[in-house]
Amino acid sequence: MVIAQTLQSLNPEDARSVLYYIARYIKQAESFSNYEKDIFEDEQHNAPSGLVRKTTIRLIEEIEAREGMRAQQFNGETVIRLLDEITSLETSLSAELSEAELERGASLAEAMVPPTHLPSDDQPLAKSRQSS
Amino acid sequence: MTTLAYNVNMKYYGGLHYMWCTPYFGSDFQSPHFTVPPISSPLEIYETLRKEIEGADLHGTKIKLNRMGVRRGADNMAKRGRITEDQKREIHAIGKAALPQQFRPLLCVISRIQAARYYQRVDVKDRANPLSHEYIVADLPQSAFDVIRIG
Repeated sequence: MVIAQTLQSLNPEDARSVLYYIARYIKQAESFSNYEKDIFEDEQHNAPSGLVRKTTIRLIEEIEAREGMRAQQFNGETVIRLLDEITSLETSLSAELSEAELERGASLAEAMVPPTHLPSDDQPLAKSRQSS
Repeated sequence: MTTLAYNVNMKYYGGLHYMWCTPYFGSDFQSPHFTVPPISSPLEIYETLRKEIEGADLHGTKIKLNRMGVRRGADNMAKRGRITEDQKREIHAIGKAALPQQFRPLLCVISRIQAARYYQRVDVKDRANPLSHEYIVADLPQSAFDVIRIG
């Protein structure tokens, strides 16, 4: 509940980023005793803002307090439950999509199949081979 | 990378790709030679997605996280002016409406030399092995890697 309330104070893009980094933290938690990775590390254009970082850390602390343990102590069932909660909250952030938009989205997605041909930037090479 | 992400990159982002990579694919993560966290193992990720698509894992958590990742990617691209707001909404709709099969995993084999201009190294502090690392590649053109579909 606190998570949902906190997210309401952010714009949807920042809220989505916060949930994304919380999910990263929870996914990595089981490896904390052996590995350590900065959950905020990202390519420069995707780097989180100060607000996103601060909110993420605050909500991670909130989740751990609610569960009564640190994330590295979560069992598999808890991890799945929390990740489901996060993805469910994230789904609710999307701007309302119309039926027509969803139908078009489904149609576009259906056409998205694994690549089966040479990419366009290789085609000149293929042509030159044909012509030689 | 998923089939959906590959196609979104090709259709909306000028055929440029964003990926997290490791130098290892099939290593058993319990092997002393495997030096990245298990959750970063391409083989583990591949298997998790495959099981969810085939219905063997009813939670479907990995696919849900992928849907979130597709939407977040669209948010970032719109913020950078690489796509329009309408295109962002379209990608959000794709992420929401796509069937699990559209998240079928693709194995990307990237030449280190080809990728050198596009990658940044991520330090993974492995207490047992200081050589642990992963890479983030961004704006990687299709010509810099091969795509392999298994199964």
